[in-house]
Parts: sequence; structure tokens; C-alpha cells
Amino acid sequence: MKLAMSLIGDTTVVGMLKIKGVSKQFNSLTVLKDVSFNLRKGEVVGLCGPNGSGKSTLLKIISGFEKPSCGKIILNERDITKTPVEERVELGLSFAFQMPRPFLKMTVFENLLTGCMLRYEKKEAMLKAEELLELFGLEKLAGRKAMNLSQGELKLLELCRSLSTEPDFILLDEPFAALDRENTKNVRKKLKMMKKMGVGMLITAHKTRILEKLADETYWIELGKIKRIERVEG
Amino acid sequence: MDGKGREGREEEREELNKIEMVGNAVKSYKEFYRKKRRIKLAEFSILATILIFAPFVSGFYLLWLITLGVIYSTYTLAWNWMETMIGRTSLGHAIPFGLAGYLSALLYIYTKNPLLFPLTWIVAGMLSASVLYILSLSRDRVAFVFISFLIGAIIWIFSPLFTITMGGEIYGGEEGFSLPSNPILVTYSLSVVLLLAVFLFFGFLRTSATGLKFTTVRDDERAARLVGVKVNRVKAFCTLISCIITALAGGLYALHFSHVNPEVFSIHIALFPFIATIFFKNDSEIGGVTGSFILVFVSNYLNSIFPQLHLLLYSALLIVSPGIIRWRARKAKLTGGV
Repeated sequence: MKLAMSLIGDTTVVGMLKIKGVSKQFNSLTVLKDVSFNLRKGEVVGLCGPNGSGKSTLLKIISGFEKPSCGKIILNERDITKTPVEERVELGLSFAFQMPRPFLKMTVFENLLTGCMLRYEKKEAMLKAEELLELFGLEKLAGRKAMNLSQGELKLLELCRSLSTEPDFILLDEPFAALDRENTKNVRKKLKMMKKMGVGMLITAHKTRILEKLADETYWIELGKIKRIERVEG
Repeated sequence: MDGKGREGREEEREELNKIEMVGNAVKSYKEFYRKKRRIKLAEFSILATILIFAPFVSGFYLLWLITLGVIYSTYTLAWNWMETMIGRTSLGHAIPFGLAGYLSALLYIYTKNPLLFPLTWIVAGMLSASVLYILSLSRDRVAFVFISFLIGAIIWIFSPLFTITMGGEIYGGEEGFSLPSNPILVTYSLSVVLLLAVFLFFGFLRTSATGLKFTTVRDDERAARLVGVKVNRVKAFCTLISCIITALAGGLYALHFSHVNPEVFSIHIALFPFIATIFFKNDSEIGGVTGSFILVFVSNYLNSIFPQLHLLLYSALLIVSPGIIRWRARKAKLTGGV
């Protein structure tokens, strides 16, 4: 855990990601309607809903890949609504795709190194990448090219890479999608570990059950509107 | 007690194994890049030795051909840099290549000062880079190939219309422009210095941390942004470097022939680097150089049999290129590791 803490840095600083009245329209189609909620550092918020409910669009808006039609995104008291993706990453916001998008022609180690180099010089970045390999149990795959990994391994690499930029918050788009039971268990374990490390996470899923014992708060989103808020104990 | 001790020892051993494994990963990574650099340096040394001794053992015509090979090699490396760093296959690189010659010729008509040529080459590179950079902003890589080709083709079609009148004489048109003639050794030396510098520069950058960051853009622009890479800046830098070096090669090409005409924008100039790199690994400088030399010599031989026969070779290679590219991708996937 000492190792894990060293990756994230000062976890005592209380950070907050605020989503304020975010709406999104594609021509006449309204995908998101006035969505608001907060996410604190070290907290896990689940966002569940059926296909096409607007979960992924919301994550894309928060990460900066899409622009909201109206509303604001505030990260640690700073309005980042118009900030480009790469600057959001520098400010401590990370994103993991539903379908992993590793740098296919690079090795697992290089994939992590690219993220670590955001905050460190190459030598130190290599040590950080090394720590991440150990943390995610990817040591054996370090020298393998990403194009040769299985779906479960790719998912772990995606998670690991999202952590490599030392974010305060990570947005995870359906991290359990297309995984068998064994890999789901493994990814869940890593997410719990990341939570303990003090990373705030916004996780989307189809069903609330999968986020039990992981999410501090779960929101139900349907037709672009947050309809039900439930508190999950434990 | 004994059992616990054994467990403890096993845990300790496991921990040590893990550390060793990670250590091995970093070690093998470092070793891999060290080896890669050593190989590149060896390739550079061989190339430099050959090029330094070439003038002493070649006749005029062979040296003239080698100079052409050197110029085309530089062009291929510059083109390949853009392809392997930001994943943009440009079929519009004939623009900086030809524009450099044209601007030099214009400058020469007005100033008669050949010392200002490098300046015009850099201007040609910057102008072309701005066009290709704007095209590269779109994430549609296929559109980039065709639009860059289209722009190059438009310039090729309309360049014969470009004429200037000075002192009652008309310059340009189909005939093109004249440039001052140089001793072959001057063009050769300049071309060799440029090629070797480019070879070293790309080889070094490719194996550096900066190169690794650049290649994230080639692999996946969205994912690159998520590791904090400023994608548009990387595109601007790589496009600028690629176009300026192409323009320098184009300028030397014009000097080599002491003449420039609309053919410098032609389809075979645009396709040359693509064809020269079909058979070689993308990130290999020596591959680009070897491919260019082979293509220059074979094309020249074919043209001596029948004019423009080399275009048949280009067509044949273009037809088989998708198969070769697929085969190379399969091979890369099978070879797996580092």
C-alpha cells in the first residue's frame, strides 16, 4: 500500500469533481437533461442505466471528448468545461474506454511509460511504470506488445494506464463489459485497490448489482435524466 | 513455527521473484533500446563509409545516379517520419519537394544569388507543412491520403500554366525553369551531409522518450490525449520537420538537374517514398534508404530499355502493396514481444 500511495501522491487534499446541470443535444435528440452530481476524491460513484441512456455521452463530456450543450464541469474548484482533454488529464482527470484502446504497437511497459512521462522525467517515469506493473500484476506481460494481449489483460492495462497519469479522478466506461467471471473479479479487485489509494471514480454499468460493495453512491440514468438515487451501504 | 517460517520464506521468495521480474522488464526495455541504438549506429557507420568512399570508386554517371539515390533516400526518410510518427500517409509530399525547386528558380531569376536557396527551401517546407498540417487535423486518415494526393495532383496539372515574363522573355510553363549548374561533387556532398544528418536525427529521436510520446499519436490519437500528449502540437512538429526536410531534398534535386519543371509534382514523385518503403520495416531508416536506392537504380535501368517503363514497376508494386502490408502486420503480431 505504501507503494500505492507513492503513486498517487498527497491524498489528504480533498478534491471534488462537480457536474452542474449538464445537458447534451444532438440536433433534435436530447441525450442528457440537466445532469448534476458531485464526486469526491476517494469516492466511487456508480452510474447505471440501459443502453442508450446517455452514460457514455456523459463520461465523454466530463473527459472532454464531447462538448455539453449547456452546464458546467468543475474540477477542484476550476471550471474545465472548455478545457481540452490533455489539459484535463494534467489537472488530474483520467478516462478508461469501454473497449480498451492501448497503443497496440507498444509493449505493456511502454504503454504505462507514456502515461508516467506526463509527470516525471524518463528515469523516474520508468520506476513509476515498474511500480504500476507490480501493482496490477502485469510483470509477466511487461515486454509483450499490446496487440497480443487477451481481452482481460487489455482491460487491466487500460485501468493501469489510466492510473499512470496520477489522476485524482478516473472515469470508467463499463469496466466490466465483455469480461468473464474471473476477469470481472480481478478488475473489481483492482478498482477496490484504486479506491483505497484515494482515487475518485465514476463507473458506468448496465446493472446496479455489479457495483455493490464498490460504489458509495449509485445513480440511475434513463433517457438522459438521472431518475433515481440510491445509497448503497458498505 | 517451522511452518510459518517456511510460509514466510515462500512469501519472501515470491516477493523477490516479483521484484526480479519487474527488474527484468525494465532491464529488457533498456536493453532493447540500447540494442536498437547500437544497430542504428552501426547502420549509420556503414552507410557513411559507403557514401564517403563512393566518389573515389565511381565514374561520373554512377556518381550522378548515387547522388539521385541519396536525394530520394532523404525524401523517403522525411516522408516515412510523418507516417510512422503521426500515422499520416501523405501522397502530397511532392508539393514541398517540387515547390522548393520552383521557389529557388524564381529567386534565382530575380536575384541571381544561389546562396539564398536554402532560405527558399525552408519557406517551401513551411508553406507545404501548413497545408498538410490542416489536413492532418482531421482524424480521418484515409481522407488525408486522398486529399493530400488531390492537392498535389491539382498543383501538378496547373503548374505548366505558371509562367513569368522578364526582359521580354517567358520563363516557366511546360519547359520549367533553369538553375545554375554545379559540379557533381558539390551536390553530392550537400546531399550526403543532409542524408546522414537526417538519418542520425530520426534514429535518435525514434529511440528517445520524445519519440515514444510521438508514436502514441500514430497508434491512437484519443488514447494519446489521455496520457497528456498534445496531439495537435505533435502533428504540427512532425509535419513541419517532414516537409522542411522534403523541401531540402527537393531543392537539392533541382540543383542536381540544374532545372525544374512540372514533373517534380508528378504522380511518380508523390508515390516514390510509399513504394520505396513497402518491403521494409516502418521504423527502419536503413530500410528506407535501401528501398530508395533499389528503386532509383531499377527505374533508371527500366527507363533505359523503354521510356517511362518504371511506371509499370510502380503499378505492379502498388497492386501487391496491400498484400505485403497485411503480411508485415501478421508477421509483427506473430513475433509478439519487445
